[in-house]
Amino acid sequence: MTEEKQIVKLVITGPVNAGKTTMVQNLSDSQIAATDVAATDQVSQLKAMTTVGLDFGILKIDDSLEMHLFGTPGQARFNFMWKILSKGAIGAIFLVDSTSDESMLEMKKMFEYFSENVDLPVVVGATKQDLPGAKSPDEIAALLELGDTMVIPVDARVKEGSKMLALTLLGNALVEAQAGDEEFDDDNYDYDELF
Amino acid sequence: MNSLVYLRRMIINQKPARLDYTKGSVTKSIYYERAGFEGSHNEVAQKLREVFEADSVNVVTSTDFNPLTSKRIFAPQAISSALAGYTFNAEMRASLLSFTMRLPPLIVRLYPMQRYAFQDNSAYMKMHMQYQHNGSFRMQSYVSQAENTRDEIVRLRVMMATYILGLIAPMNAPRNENHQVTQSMLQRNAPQSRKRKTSILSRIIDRIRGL
Ligand SMILES: Nc1nc2c(ncn2[C@@H]2O[C@H](COP(=O)(O)OP(=O)(O)OP(=O)(O)O)[C@@H](O)[C@H]2O)c(=O)[nH]1
Ligand SMILES: [Mg+2]
Repeated sequence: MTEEKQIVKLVITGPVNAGKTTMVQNLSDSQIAATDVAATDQVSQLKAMTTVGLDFGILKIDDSLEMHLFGTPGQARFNFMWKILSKGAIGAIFLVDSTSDESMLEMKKMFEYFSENVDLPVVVGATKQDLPGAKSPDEIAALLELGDTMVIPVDARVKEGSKMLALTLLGNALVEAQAGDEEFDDDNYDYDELF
Repeated sequence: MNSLVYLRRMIINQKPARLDYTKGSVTKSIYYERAGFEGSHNEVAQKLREVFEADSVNVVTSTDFNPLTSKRIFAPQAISSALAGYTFNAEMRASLLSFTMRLPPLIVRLYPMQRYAFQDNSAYMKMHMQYQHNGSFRMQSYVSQAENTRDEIVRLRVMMATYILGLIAPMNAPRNENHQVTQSMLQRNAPQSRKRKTSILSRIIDRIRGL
């Protein structure tokens, strides 16, 4: 059984503690190379376990297609990863901790880099909406100057929510791809067809 | 309702274009380019309403238009303004309903229309939720679920906005690679890579829905 499968990537990224590891787990069949370790230095004041390196998960789609999920850390020094990951990627999910100003600041830097350097369908998931002090999706959109990017409230711990976020991204990507198929020939308009 | 089709193609095409429209014996034009429709906020909204109701429309694409003004209204903003409080007469309503009946099963894109002051945003969000829930969207049943004529007007406005702005698209992604030859013959000029992409996305969507 060495049948060749096509592989596509889904990138789940965002600042520290935003819910990336949790979401990768929720959307994968199996999680390989979990690298959560006890957090040291500044991060440890924030949380007990943090991810060193990448989260990686696989979701088998069908006999000829596999999706690889990459959870990539937020620090700007990981920006170089986009070059590698955006090849064969179908889209990116940014997660941001709605309760954390630091998370917002880091997210803003990350998204700036992304908008200028990466051309992929994207949505932003605003996590921890259930916690006190959470900023609303609209506030976050304004704060981060997200332009046309959708901000959707999500709890990374809830499978159904993670699914909905991924489906929104994929649905948007599909509409874009389909609309791109409506090739409009300048001299050959045919307006009997709706699409 | 050809004007909806023309507007959609103009916006999705992203090329400079001029749309000429005639109502009665008067012909006018509205210009579009990547940045949006030419004119002030009110001018553009007014013209778009005239386009909706025009007897005939025609699109001319060209790169050498001489714009009268540098003012541009971004398409989502322009359509939101044109549809704000917009109501239709019996004739217009009938043609919108018949247009709706012709739409195939759809996929729906979520776009931050509220940032462009789209008044019917909550109805649009509900429409996206129906799509998420069912995996495809039927505009016919959405519109026919209207509770009263006011509600029907809202739903038809959402139909107009999402159609024109390319936030809905037909759900005809080729799921079977073997059908690609016929598919690409039906849809002229559609590159294979795009067809493959829609197929991949559809399969992943099916899989995640089933998780
Ligand atoms: N209350 C609440 N907790 C959440 C939500 N989403 C995620 N969490 C929790 O937030 C914590 C951080 O989640 P992780 O998945 O470890 O976050 P991460 O982005 O991988 O973090 P790093 O690897 O350190 O960058 C976990 O305890 C999650 O259970 C949410 O919506 N509400
Ligand atoms: Mg982690």
